[in-house]
Amino acid sequence: MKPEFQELLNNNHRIISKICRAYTDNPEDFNDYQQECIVQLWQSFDSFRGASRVSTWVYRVCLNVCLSQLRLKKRRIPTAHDYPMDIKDTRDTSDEENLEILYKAIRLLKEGDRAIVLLYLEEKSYKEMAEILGITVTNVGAKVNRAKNQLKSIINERFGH
Amino acid sequence: MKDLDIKKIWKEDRGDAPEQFNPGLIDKIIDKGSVSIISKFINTLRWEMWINFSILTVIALYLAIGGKWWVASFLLFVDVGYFVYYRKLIKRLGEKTIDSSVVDYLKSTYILINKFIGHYKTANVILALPLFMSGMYFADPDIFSQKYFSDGWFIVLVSAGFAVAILFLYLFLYFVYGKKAVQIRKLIEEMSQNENPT
Repeated sequence: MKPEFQELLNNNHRIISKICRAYTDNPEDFNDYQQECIVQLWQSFDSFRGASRVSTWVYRVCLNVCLSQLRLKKRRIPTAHDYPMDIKDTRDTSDEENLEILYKAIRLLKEGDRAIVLLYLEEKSYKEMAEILGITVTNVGAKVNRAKNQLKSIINERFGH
Repeated sequence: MKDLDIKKIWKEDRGDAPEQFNPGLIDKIIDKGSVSIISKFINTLRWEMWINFSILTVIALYLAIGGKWWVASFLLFVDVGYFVYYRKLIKRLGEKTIDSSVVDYLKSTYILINKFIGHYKTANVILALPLFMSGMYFADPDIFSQKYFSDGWFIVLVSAGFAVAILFLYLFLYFVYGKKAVQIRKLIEEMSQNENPT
């Protein structure tokens, strides 16, 4: 493996992990999604010409992997921790709870809206969101507002926050 | 949770730990290769291509040794044709589009799934009937004689059996791949909603 690719993963592991977590709450699927993202990033790494920002490219590949909803059963490579949702760290328990509520709420959105919300939470500009998703900037604006409102109402109604 | 809170909570998520991405593990993951639906299609087609190629070549050689040159030549022609067709189909499926925009990728995946389904539907109709007939012929060389075809029930039973087999295959294709295509089409429609046609 090229050191440049390892560096890319080191710089973008957070994005990969967050996208996969937004599309599944199943630890096995999470690892499968994440592994497929890595394979697809590797396979298209050489053809990436830098026409867009690296993060834009990573978002595209990972969203494409998750949205095309893989049927992954064959490959199982044990990872450092098989249950990333149970990560124990120095974060406050209530912070982790809030984060879990947020992920649960995101996962209750439609698949397309999840992509919108993820990009919104990552503070991507409408232009970059349009570039990643392949829709117009105007449409991004409308979708962001709708998805954001839906997310808020899910959090309020289902989780009472 | 306020708008600001949501973003704050989101930012606190540092994602998966970096050890998840250690070089040894990454190498193993890369070596295993992709298990996406398209990769699955490609693997299936590769197997099919080589199985078809081997079987047809063996039959053609057998016929050639038996002195049936014309039939052997025809079979070899079909054999090469199939091989070229499969190669093209595999190449088309293998084109990398994963780094396209989400809508473009979903569209290309949708097209590829339908192409794969179309391949089986066509193969089913084009190949199954002659294979079925050949099977019947080998079972009884008199199968196409007046003896059988004057019997209306025989024709009805054969046609019904064939129709049921095709129906099952179509249903199988729908449940294994067709549902996936429908799901992706809905997603494309959802994403493209409110887009101005250009």
